[in-house]
Amino acid sequence: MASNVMDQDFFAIPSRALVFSLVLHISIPFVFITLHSLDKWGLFPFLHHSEPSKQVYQNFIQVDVVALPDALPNEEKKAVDMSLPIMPKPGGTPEIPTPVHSNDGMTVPDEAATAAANLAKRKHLDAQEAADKAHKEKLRKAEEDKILKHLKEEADREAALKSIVAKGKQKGRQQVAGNLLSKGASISGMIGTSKDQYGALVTQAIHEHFNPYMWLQKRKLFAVVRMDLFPTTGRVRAKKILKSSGDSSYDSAVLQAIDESQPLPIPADSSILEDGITIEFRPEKP
Amino acid sequence: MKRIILLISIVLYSVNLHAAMYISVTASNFKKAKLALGHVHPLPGATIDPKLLEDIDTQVHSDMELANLFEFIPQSNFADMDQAKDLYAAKYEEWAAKGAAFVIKLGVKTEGTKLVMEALLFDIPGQKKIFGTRYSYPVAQYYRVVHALTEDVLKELSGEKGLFFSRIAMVCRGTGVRKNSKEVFVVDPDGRNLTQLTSDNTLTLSPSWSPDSKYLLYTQYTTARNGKKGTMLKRHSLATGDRKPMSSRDGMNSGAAWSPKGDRVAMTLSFNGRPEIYFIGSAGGGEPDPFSRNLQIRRVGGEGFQTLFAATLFDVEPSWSPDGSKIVFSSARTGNPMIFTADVNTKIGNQLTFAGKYNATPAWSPKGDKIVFAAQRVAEGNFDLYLIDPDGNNLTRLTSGERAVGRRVNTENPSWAPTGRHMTFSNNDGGNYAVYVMSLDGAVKRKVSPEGRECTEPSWSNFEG
Repeated sequence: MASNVMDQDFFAIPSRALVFSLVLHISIPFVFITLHSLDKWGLFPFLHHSEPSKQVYQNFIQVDVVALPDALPNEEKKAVDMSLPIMPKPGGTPEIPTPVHSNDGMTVPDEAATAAANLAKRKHLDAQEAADKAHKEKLRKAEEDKILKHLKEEADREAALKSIVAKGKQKGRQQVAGNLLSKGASISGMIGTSKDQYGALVTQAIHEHFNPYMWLQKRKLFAVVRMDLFPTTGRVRAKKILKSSGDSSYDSAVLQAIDESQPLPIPADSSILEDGITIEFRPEKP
Repeated sequence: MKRIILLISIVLYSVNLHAAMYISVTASNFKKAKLALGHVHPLPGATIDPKLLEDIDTQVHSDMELANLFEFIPQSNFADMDQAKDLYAAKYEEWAAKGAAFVIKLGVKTEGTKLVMEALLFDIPGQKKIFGTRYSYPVAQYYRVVHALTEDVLKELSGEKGLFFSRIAMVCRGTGVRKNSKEVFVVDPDGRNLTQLTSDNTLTLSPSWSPDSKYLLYTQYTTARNGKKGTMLKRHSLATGDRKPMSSRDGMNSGAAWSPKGDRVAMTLSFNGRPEIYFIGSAGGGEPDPFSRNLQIRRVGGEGFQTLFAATLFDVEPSWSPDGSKIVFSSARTGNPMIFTADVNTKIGNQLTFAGKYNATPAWSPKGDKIVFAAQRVAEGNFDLYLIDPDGNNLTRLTSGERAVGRRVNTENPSWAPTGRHMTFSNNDGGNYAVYVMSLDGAVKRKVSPEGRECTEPSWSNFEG
């Protein structure tokens, strides 16, 4: 019975099954085409792992740099290696600079060979620089504090003296200076007031001409200058930097401000100028 | 006795007269340095293609102008002194007479496929050479030699690094089948070397740099392994092109900002139902650490803290202070989105802005002294950039979107250059959104995104030395 069935049906494929099979197989490519186009239009019917984009970006700094000699090119040459760090290059970058032998005998080191060395050196130098900077900053701060303390002491002493003098005047010179004393101020009298007013005038005159370079704006620089004026003309007799800011262009701007603000206002009482004027130049926000 | 007192008084009086007068002058007016920037000459004995010479000349002037630190002395004023043979020395008195504070002298030659440039910078009042350097690089990329020179000049004079040795990442509309897709692009701050970083044919958002400029973080709409669609924060290595999924929680995974120390990332997550700022590890993984949830915001002009309006709360777009101790962000906790700062450790914060319809995308300056943000005013309706001090003082408007015939343009998504003297932003002045680089005072403004392509959300990398 079983063999009979086999004999009859084994090779005889029913036409329905044949059609079904044909349709199924022909439709397979269409399934893939459909999936692909759905994918393209942003619909992901099945798991979709996007291919990681392997875009490699060329590193930025690869310019070979050599310091120029101090002397003219045909005089004695002394190559100083001031190379910018040369970063290890990722694969597939378009151009690899080759070592250069410049006409005056200075050699640009081979990039690949020295890249790592340069980087290490640079890192070391950076660390040193940072430590150095921190130390300098500390010293600067200490110096500044010292000066400020000194100035404050001086001012305190001055104020104390003034109050003693004012008291003395009230007692001893009441009749002479009585109507000149302003009412109720602790440090006052003609001398105190006019000195403050005069100070404000000088401050304003110098401030107008004090224009350091733009790049110094955020540097919080601080300098102290002492100047002497001719009491009759308001011109500067002498000026001296008591405390440098540490930046030469800031110091020049300080001195230039004093020079350009001439002639400075003249005080009614020229004795104010007898011991000079100390000016601190400080950043906008302490 | 009385006589003695009088005597002492007189002595003291005269001492008082002799006490030095003390005044304090505050620096508030800063000037550009007068620079004599001559023509680029062929080095002695060298001949060079005049077209190349002209290109280099143009590039030098363009770079120095972008630096925005110099006032250029007209070349006609010193034409007689601008000669190739004088390259290695400067006649200080003569230059001083021309009013120059600094002089740059440049000589070039070609050696095979390489361009060699010798550059010298002189300090005229100081009567000294600041540096003399020889640069060499393939001729085809001559502008990199000029960038290296400009970077050196800025480093020497201002101590600032990274105006040219840095890059800008941004998202631009893709050219693929899906017209609303956006891909990440990277470009030099002068608009050169445009490189497409992703080709994923999907929406990509808020690229931002790691502090070492070796990685980019961005958010993409993707389908996760479990087949769920959503946003995913990815970390993209620029050296290898490898990408690592950092966060793909439910809802938003966006607005990532790497901490300055590089140990963690602040970002907005909304798996909890509303967008809040969290910290995640900079390698991804682990549980997110909520930052903005329990902040206490000081009451303005009084004691105590503001009450939280939980219903309207969202906290987005974090940006770190340069020391990593604080975060500035945009939050709708008081109604309209406003700018807030908060201490990372104490979680005590301050509200910086109180006006306008929408204050967004704050960015803390590299020196820590300013915060820039985009704000939409109620009356005007467009976004403009504003500066504010981290303590809430000195609110200053940077841009004005008002144009002819009642048209208004938006300026959005500011990001600082590592020098803090320039910023980049997107702006739709020309119709489409494009990415621009601008000096802080607005004196120089340049488009860096490609023509005819919509680009937004720029992020400026750190100095890449």
